[in-house]
Amino acid sequence: MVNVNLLPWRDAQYRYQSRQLKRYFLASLILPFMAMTIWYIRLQNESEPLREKLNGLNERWSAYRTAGPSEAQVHQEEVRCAKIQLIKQTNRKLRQFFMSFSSEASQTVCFTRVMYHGRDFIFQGRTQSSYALTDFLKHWHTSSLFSEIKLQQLIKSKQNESMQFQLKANL
Amino acid sequence: MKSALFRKPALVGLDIQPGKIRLVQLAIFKSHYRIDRIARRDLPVGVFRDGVICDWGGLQQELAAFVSVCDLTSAAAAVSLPSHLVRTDHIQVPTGLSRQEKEAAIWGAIKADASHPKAALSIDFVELPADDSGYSSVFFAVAQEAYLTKLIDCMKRAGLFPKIIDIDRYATLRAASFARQAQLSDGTSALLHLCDGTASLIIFNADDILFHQQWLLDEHLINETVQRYLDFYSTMHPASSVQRLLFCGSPLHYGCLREMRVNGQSIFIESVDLASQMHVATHVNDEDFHTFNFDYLLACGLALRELTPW
Repeated sequence: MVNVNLLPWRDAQYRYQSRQLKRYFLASLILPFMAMTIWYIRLQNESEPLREKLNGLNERWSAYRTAGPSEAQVHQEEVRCAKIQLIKQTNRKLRQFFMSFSSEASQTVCFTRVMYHGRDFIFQGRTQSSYALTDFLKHWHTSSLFSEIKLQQLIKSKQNESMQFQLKANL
Repeated sequence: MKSALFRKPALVGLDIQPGKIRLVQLAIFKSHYRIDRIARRDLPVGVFRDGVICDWGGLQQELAAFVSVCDLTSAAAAVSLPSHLVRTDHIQVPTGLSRQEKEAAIWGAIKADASHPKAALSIDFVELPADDSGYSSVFFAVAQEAYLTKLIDCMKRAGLFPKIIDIDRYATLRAASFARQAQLSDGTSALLHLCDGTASLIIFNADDILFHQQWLLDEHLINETVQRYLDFYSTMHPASSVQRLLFCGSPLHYGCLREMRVNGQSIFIESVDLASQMHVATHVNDEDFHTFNFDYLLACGLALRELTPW
């Protein structure tokens, strides 16, 4: 059965469809723009703290470049370099000590124990006499590595004729 | 929330008859129509004269009060024009014509037997399904633009938003077809609608109304008058035989009907009960609708129109 509408519904339908088309067109323009705007604002919000952090770092770098290091920093750096040099020197002397110590042999002096702490060496051993020990120390090439060698102990052994000694040396 | 967003808006069917306004508001509820509101209001004598509204101010006042009582301000409404104010016809046109070409063909058909200027008429047309002949039938309806404009203005001033202006016989038939939808798909049927002291006989098939007659009701002559019009139709259309008579009216009048015969054969007389096909909302006066639903047939038929977004 037919449905009649004596109102000008075709014109109204045309106007409605035109309006809908315009709305869809506007929506197709506005929605991507809104999405991009929202994305831009979000990125802005995320990058703002990073930018502030970068600015802070730049400011500190500029200040460092213009003012240079402080006296305390220079002193601290010198101390650090001296420590490094000392460690390097000690290591070099230790390496020389172990190379020369193993190559030198003596008939009159026998080392029984070598102790190392910091830059101090303690040598314990036996010798036939104090003369033999003195003679050995005169000709001991390794002694050139030490700044100072002290005889701390020289005891005559009760069991035999030999003598026990203890030397302290500083690198 | 979901129902508020996706519920189809309701269309109000407004039946303005001499002496009475009737209103039906439907809603689609669980794929069924539900009556959300029925209401009626008496119109003062003098609003209508000879079946035509003549006191527009009086009608507007009554309508505004009715709309206010029903709380339907700005509601979309469908209203009908009486059949005697609308001319309907068919023309044959080649298939594939544009809207403007069809309208020009309709204006040509109107001009042949009418003296109205083009601007004074309002038309609507429906192209019926075409066959293989290369021609299709176009149904058109024409009404006076001035009367339509007055009716639209009156409704707008009363607070309603007119969306559809139908023809009363098509709206009545729509409601009757809805009430007996499965049985009317084939053959020719007749609908006898009795309301407000007026009888209306519509003979129709699945595609269109074939015959329509309206007369003042005389309770003692119902049977004879209907039989006379059926005989008249059979004489005019010997190839088309009415198979059933649908009755929509009070049980008292139904009791007045006796055996009807078409071409010497008796036809079925069936009662149309609109209430059997529609749910009624809990706040609606259920008893009133079940007793007087035949009075609301036209308003229901108008409310059954699909509410378009434009």
